[in-house]
Amino acid sequence: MSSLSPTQIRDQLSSYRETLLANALMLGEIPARPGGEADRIRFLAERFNELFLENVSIDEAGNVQAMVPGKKGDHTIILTAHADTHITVGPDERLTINVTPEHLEGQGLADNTIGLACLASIPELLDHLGIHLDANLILLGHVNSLGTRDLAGLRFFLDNLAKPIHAGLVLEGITLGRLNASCLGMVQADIRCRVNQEPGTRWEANENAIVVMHRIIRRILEIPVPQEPRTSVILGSIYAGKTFNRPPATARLRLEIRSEEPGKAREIRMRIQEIAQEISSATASEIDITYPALRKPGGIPFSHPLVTAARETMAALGVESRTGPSYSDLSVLISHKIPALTLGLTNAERLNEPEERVEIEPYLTGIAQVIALLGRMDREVATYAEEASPPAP
Amino acid sequence: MAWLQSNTFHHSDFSDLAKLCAAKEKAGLTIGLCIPTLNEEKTIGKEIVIFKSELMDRYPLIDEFAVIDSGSTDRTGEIAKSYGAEFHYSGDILPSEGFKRGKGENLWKAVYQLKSDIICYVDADIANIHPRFVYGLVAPLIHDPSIHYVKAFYERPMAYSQGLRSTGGGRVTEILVRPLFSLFYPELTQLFQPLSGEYAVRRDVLESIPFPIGYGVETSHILDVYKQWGMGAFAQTDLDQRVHRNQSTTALGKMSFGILQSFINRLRQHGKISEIAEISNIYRALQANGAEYEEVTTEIFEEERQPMIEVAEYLKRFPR
Repeated sequence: MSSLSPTQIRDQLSSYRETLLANALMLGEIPARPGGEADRIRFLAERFNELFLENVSIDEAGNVQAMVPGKKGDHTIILTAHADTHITVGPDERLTINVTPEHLEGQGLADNTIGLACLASIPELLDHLGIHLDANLILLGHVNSLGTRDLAGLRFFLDNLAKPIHAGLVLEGITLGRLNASCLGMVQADIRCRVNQEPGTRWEANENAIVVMHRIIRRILEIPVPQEPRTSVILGSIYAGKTFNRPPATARLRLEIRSEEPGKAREIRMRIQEIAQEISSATASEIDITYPALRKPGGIPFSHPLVTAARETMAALGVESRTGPSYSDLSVLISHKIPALTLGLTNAERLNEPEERVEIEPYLTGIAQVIALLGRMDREVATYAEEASPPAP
Repeated sequence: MAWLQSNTFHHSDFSDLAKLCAAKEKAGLTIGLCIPTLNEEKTIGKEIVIFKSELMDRYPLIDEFAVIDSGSTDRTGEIAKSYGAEFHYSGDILPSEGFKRGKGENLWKAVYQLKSDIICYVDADIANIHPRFVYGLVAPLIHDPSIHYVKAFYERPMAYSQGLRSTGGGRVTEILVRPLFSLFYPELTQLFQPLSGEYAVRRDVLESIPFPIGYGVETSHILDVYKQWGMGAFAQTDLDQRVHRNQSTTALGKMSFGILQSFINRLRQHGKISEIAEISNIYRALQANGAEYEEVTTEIFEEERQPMIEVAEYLKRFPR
């Protein structure tokens, strides 16, 4: 392992700025809706192959993985980034990313082209900087992460990996300073209501799915939600009806429950299920609930040496760390008892707009933090197993 | 049509860049890249970053590259320099020859400015830039010494704010140049897109041919190379898609007018036509202005730069 300080790493990265940006530019122009990441994954696989990494492969779930073998190989660290974005590109459209001296510009950069570009760049940068880890480093670009896909690619990888992983970092495009060491319990619920509308009935007299869904929402809002441990029920979207004067037969509500308290999200989920059954019975309507995502809370404590290492690395780079719980990729690592953190890499504005842009200078700092932290993890990983708290039941 | 089969390539034929760089080294060739610009702040940064990263830092395919600018008033120069590109105002190169405004001028000055054996020209307005735009063009020159001039062609969508059209593009080629080639130079109809702005050429060819400074530069190059070296000197590479700004019909009319001037000049020089009335260099268009109808005239004069080899300073820089 090289003895470069975080700031020395940061200074040296300036020489590789074009390499870093080229990865972001080329990856960012490859559309990657959830389930449609194959072209991005192939790009990453080609990159890893060009660098002669070991075990470069695309698994049956569609994830790409590669390994930078460690000098000793006694431990294994994983670096992950999700390959999918929220951006949907039509058959006659294309994603375009541009670059100015200050910014990269284009949709999908923040979530998560930048994270994936960092993943693509890390092995080359380690080599350029003369950093050779004792631990094996697994690089994983995983698919089917967002929305109802619920991190399917990452789950598949970790469920089927035979080797133990001793620590991990999750790379997210934004925001530099982000430091997640724990996960909220999370439940996503998709509630669909269909009312019984008799054929031939005058439309004024027909049952109205909006009214039924309104009753459900009102009852959900009456559920006691504690402020501590932090818990929330977020009503995310609602669909019903097409015009001013026709009672709709169907309505759909999507919501998310988050809680730091083990079992709380599940408790609220069960309560919502009871409400749905009760209203279904009272109104003779069909109410179905599906749960696209169910995640347990957990994580490593604030005093864990991995968190300390991350905070100290950020401080050395002049980055103010902002700790807080996450509910994304980290939860899967945590559920596999892997001490892990989520890190943000840069700053962004105009998110999800065509003019979305991320800052370049902070991005270099974000990558320096990852490389420096990998060095710390490499030295300290043997101690992590004793420090990690058991995941919540 | 044997040429069409043997001298038409796809960029994927050359995507093994390590192998291509080894072949380049073995051939003892150097490669320079020229990006001609005029107000290209939107896309110039991306082109430089990708070419520098992929074709200089990662694979040493390009030995030098220069952005040669006609006098941009936007951030083109600032952005190019910020990513370490050699940026030149065209008027500062070979100042004894003066400055003429036009893309052909920049291409001609590049022959003096760059030192390499092969020069690859890539337009700066390509939204989907990729290393293939260079390696796909220089590879045939590296592999086959009998090839001197490699043209790009594309499955050519045109970018609109609403998205892309999957077909179309190359309107001037199909409506003007292809019919002219069919009439006077049928062999050249094998070139899919003779007007494409991306091509790679050996120095000994570039220094020997004149450069129209305006719209006619690509057409006259092809006619001159064909006349002197024959069809076997050409190759063409399919670079898949090129996304770029769409030009208005009016702009294409002016372009066609310039190309026609160059074409007619070459027809005369090649003895293909003996008598033709004096041609005008005034392009005339019509427009309605409220209830009034008016003629709009533009002077389009396809001035030419002499072959670089006839410039004394060039011979000093590249002694024989």
